[in-house]
Amino acid sequence: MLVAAGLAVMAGLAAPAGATVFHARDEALTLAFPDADRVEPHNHYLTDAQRAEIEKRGRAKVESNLVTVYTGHKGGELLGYAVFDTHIVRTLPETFMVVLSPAGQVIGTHVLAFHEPLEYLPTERWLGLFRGKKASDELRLGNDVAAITGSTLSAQAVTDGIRRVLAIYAVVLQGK
Amino acid sequence: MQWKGWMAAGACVALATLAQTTVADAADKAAILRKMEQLDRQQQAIQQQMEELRQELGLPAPTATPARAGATGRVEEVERRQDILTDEVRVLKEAMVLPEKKELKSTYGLGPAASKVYGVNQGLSLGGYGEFNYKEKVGDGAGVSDEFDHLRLVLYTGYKFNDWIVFNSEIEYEHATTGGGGSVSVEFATLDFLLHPMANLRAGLMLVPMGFLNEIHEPPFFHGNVRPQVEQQIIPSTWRANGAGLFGEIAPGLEYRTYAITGLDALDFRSSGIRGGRQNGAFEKAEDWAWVGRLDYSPIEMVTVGGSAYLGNSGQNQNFLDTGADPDSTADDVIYKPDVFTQIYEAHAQFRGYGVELRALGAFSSLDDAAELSLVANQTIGGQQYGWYAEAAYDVMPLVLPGTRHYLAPWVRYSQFDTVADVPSGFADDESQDREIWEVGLSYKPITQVIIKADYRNQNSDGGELADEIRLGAGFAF
Repeated sequence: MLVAAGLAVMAGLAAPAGATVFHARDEALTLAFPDADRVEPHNHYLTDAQRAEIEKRGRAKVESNLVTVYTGHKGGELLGYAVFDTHIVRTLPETFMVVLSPAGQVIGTHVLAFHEPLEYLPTERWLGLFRGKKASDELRLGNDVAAITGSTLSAQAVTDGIRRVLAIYAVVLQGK
Repeated sequence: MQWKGWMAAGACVALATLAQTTVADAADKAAILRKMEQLDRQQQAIQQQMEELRQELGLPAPTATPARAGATGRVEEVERRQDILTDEVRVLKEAMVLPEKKELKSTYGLGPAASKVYGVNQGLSLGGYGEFNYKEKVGDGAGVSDEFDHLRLVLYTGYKFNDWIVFNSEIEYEHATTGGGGSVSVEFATLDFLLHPMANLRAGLMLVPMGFLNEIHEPPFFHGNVRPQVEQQIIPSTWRANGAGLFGEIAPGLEYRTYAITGLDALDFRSSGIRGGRQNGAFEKAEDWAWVGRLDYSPIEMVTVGGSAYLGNSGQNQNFLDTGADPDSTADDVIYKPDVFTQIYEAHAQFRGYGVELRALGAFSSLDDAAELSLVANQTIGGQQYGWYAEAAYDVMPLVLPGTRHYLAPWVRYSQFDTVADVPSGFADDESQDREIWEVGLSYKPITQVIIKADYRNQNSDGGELADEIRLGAGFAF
């Protein structure tokens, strides 16, 4: 009887807590640009030189010469850029989204999908530490970015990813 | 005549050049046509592969676009197709880990659509760590053998049955082989039922949630080749026991764990502490149970403070035989059945930021019936134990090489502990258990997951000098 009641409670509560996909793509873009009336994907074909420059500035590997940057618009106004970054944490992937202001500052960082055990998932609060960061910032774990006990690998991967996205902004979007 | 000759020669050269150009143009065009046909074929093949992949992933078919006819639109057509393919690649790349539309999200917990998207093998998660080191006895330890130990090799295996039932385990080889004094152990193996961020259920062979290292002990994430001794003698890491309990995050930055686990076995307590009393999951005596709880608070990301407590009996309803003054005679034997109520309390604090790492931990334990235990074990078992340590490290690499990913931190640690802090009446103190340790070292990480360690330990006890050590080693986690 007690067991049955317990199981019923479990079944009732079970849905969102252990979810590994937090936001589908369309939903993520709404999260990135809540006020936008349109969101457009832009495919950028990197030259090898651009790719090398992004890797150098971002101090992180770039896996492909195809980079998609989403732009959010409201009327004629550009609201910002959103880039998805997928990488392997240990053996399984994580996808997160970095949203930049038109000036290239981090507005938001959101984990969209996380397939590793959830104890390795960085917290919302930790992700919030990146707000306002820009391409010229150091972004070093344990230095200007707090290290997190227990999820060092995903923290490192996210920090690398944000540096990479900021470098993409500098090299591709600003063209510097 | 001469100018005519020049003219003729010039015309010849011009004609020849023209002829050459025309031939070259024709060859170029043929090459371009061949190239286009080749591209066409490649695109068709890619489209077919994409169609198959899309069907496999269960994604909807793209909107059909009418093909353009006419030779003039050929280049545009190739560009148009390339754009389509690029978008397809983008969508497929994203769909490997992320569903396209929200509708899928409501079904990913249990739905077949999601499992198609994420592939069949996504439930399995592998990881591991290892460490090995060379220890050279120096100074006070002259005459003691040096050694090179492959201390640990560990495989983590996890399996996510669904979004709320997860299995995690750690299988560990210690000292490389069971043939040479090593061991193979399941360090933990738990089923987690993720019910709610504030209250999740965990059951199985659990890591006792006390101190810094008992739960998180991957070598890249602590300084020194050997774990701090306070977390070996006072908190006997790696300490694990069978049981069940709850864990979760009550408020942002406030985490707890509360478990009911089998108690320690006091028959194996010694002067050196309670370490021998761990039951390690094998045929555990479950007559006495214990409660262990832990609270960690992180007001800002760089700071963590916390504490834990363990309360429970360790007698395990056993008869403790005191063989008396004459072990060969049964006439003076006495049998006790003590409860051995055991309490352990621990507090810890940590700061990590701006390249600075500070850690401090204090632990205290108390055992009832220490006099009986001492009689039975024929050595002084302390009624109380305590220990503490503090360490500091600083990552100097950004100063040496700005912008580098490498990490190099000198560190220093002071530890003090006494496993016979309270002597049962009628027994003599074992001064050799009262120790003071200074350690200094270097931690170098070329990447986050790999560490090379060098350290020096100076150890002294009230009962006399103990061997000092220089240690060189390496560790990794993946």
